[in-house]
Amino acid sequence: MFKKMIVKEWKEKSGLFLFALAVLGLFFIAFSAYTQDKDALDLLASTLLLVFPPVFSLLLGASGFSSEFQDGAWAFLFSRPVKKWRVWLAKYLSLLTVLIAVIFLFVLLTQLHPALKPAPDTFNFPLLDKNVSYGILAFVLPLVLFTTAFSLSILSEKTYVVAFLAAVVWIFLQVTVTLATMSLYDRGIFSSAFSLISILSLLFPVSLALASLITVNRADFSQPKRRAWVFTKSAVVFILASVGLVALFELGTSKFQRERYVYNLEVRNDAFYFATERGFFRFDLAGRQTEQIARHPSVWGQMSLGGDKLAFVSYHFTGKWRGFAGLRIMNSDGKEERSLVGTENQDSPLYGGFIYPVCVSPRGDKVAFIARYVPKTTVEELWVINSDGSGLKGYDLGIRDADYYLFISFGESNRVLFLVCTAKIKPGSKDRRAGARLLRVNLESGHVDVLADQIRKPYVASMPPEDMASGAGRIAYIQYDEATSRDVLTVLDLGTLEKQTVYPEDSVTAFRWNKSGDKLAFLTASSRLGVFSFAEGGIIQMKEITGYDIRWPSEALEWTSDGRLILRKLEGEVSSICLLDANLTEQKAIRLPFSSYFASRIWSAGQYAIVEDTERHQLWGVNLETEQWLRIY
Amino acid sequence: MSELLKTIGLSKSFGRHLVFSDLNIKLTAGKVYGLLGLNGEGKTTLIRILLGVIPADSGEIHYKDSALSFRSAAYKEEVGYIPEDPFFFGGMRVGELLDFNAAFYRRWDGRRAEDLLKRFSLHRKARIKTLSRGMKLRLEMAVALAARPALLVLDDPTSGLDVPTRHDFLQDIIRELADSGTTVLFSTHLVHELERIVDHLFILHRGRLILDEEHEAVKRSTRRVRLAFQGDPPQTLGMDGVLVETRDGPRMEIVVYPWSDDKKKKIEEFSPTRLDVDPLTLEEIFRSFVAG
Repeated sequence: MFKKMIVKEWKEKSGLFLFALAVLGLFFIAFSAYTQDKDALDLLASTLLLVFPPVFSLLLGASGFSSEFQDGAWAFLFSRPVKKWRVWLAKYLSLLTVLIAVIFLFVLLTQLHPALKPAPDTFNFPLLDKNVSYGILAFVLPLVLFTTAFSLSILSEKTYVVAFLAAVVWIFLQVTVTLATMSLYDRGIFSSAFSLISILSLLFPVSLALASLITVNRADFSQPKRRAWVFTKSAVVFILASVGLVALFELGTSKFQRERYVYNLEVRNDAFYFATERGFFRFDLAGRQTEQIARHPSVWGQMSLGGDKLAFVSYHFTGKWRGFAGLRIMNSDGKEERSLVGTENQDSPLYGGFIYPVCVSPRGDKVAFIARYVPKTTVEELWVINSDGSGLKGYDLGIRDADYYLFISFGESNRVLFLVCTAKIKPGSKDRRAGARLLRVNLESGHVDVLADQIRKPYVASMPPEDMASGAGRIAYIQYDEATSRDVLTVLDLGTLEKQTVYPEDSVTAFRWNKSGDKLAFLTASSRLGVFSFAEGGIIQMKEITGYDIRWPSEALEWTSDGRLILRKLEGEVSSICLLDANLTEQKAIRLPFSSYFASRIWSAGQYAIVEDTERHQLWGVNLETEQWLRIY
Repeated sequence: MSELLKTIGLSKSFGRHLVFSDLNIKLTAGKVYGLLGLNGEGKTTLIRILLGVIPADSGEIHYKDSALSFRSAAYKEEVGYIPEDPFFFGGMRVGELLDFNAAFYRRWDGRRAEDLLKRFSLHRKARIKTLSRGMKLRLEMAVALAARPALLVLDDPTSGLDVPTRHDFLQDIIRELADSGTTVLFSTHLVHELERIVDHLFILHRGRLILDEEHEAVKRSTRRVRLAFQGDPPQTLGMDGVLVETRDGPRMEIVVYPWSDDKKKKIEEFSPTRLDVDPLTLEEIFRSFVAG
């Protein structure tokens, strides 16, 4: 039946198909005639991409059942011994083959003609601060419009009326859902407006198609008003159900996952701290207890430890997405929590801004933070405040293409601050080398030095902050070297500002300081593990490693407190963490209490190693001596 | 004879307009049923409901003792349908229309389809839109019969056809089908066409089934009575079943259903100077029934 229906529809739609071919042919001729005129080509390409697929899809879809009404064939079709929904489906699929054929020819044309060949890579249509790609315009939009028009074709025998109605309905639904979603997004109720709009954009035609199917299956087709009523009623129900389900799913999963997701983890010798959206937690290594030390909702778990202080950013919604952030501080045991500065005060230079990230000085006496998106004309982005709430001071870093900042540490007894600034990559830019810059800010003069650039992920790591406070610390980073096209591991001496390349022979993919800050372990692109010692002035170990899980290198490596290295292993579905001795020989493998394809970072504190089950959002700790696992969160 | 299809309390309205209500009909195998009614009385609506094309508002339909729903499809394997204007799919060729329909029916008889094409002088490669109205009707007939239906439903298909075609169509095909055991439900407003072929009559009028009777019985029981009196005719003859009554001075004419000898005796009690009792044609019977 489907095969015969396809033949029938192809015969009936041959006129429309030939019309599409003629239009494509005309465009082809036009492109050939204006090969030298870039403006004309752009106009033609835009017209072809933005007009042809939607209009053809609308006309084709609208002709679906409309043509059957024109000659009364609907009654004949429905009197055949086959379920009505199968007739609907057969017609839909039959016309879909016509659409696919035309879209195929359309894509062929864009690929055959030199003027249009770059279109799939370059053609983007701006919408909602995103770029709607060629793929969406050439494939998704035609399918959506075709389905919408086909669903509505049961309402009228006039193809052009149906096509127009389908366009109006689609625009209305699209605009309504976009405005509503953006409004809810602005109020902070939804976290992902664009993806929601995208999902609903696909669910709407599905809703209309289901309503059309219901109408075919239940309604009296001889009564246009009755038919329209059943369709409208069903469509409203399905559309509301789609919106409701998506909203519930979004609200449920995002809130649930955000609450559970472990955003940040800071390690101390006696405890480690982590944040979820529910607040901040402290796991006491001696007592083996997890305690919630702050219940304020966090912003991506933003926190920093320094001395005996922990600073964090909380957020409270006031009905607007740009609600109010608060920088708070407390003792590292969770006591004496208080507010340092907030963005809700209209007289504050931070009013309405967004605080991210934050950094506490090694002694815990100062807190630095970045405040951005301040609606006022404030140019300062970096702010420093004393941990008693006094001495707020802003600094203009003068970097206008900054994407985001990462703090490294205070240095020279709080006289300077080191941070990394990543640059915005322009939309469509192929320049993946656009790396980050290492900045040194003089907190007395406000002078900003760029100490290094072209820094690659994982961007940067410093010696333990306590050791850097004196000003004789070191910062290590991976820098792209244009001469060798390698990512080289470089160490910057903050006292002399001399740079030392640790291992120039190969690209380095990850590195980690040991706890005392005198050794660097690193992984290379050719799966070698090395250890550089500052005391001995060179590489003291280098070994090829096989069988270890270094798919995400920056997550793969950690030092224990007693100077051993930890790597992950994945054998089948069994994951383990492995301890390597000073000779990089595996001492033991401790199997994880969960199976996970995705590696998580490994942290170590005291005798514990901590891993996150990234699929179930759980934290597990293991005593490296007893090999006993403990679920921490 | 076994019961093929029946309806119980079938009702249908279009908005506030009641098409029919509480309709009960029965079709038995091998008979030709005439469904009569003026234009707009709901014949097409009833047929579409029986074929599951549109839903009834209430009531039941049973096919071979199985209750049907609007979504039932399997019974349509055994039901052939020739719609009022079977002139769609004009872009197809004759053979393509047959092949298209063959895809819907498990009991499609390809050889019979070819035989019917030959019998109706149709060529597989002929384009449907080039066929005459009569040939298109023959093509639809071939489509309907190739599926070997147990019930063939014709929705006023002969209107607009020339007389020889209508005659051939009715004489040659319908009677032959009924003789071979196929039940035929023939809806028409050209009543005289049914005169020689119909076994049973249904008349739909003003939303009700006002006649459900064997054709022969209706013909036997319906009489035109012409009367003349010396003075004015009596105000009333005091009998039921008078379908039509006309007066012209001392003359009077009535159509009575059902006619009986008792009614004749009752009329004779009024001492008419003239009393002629004549049978009616089917068309006259139909006009009498719907005249009121």
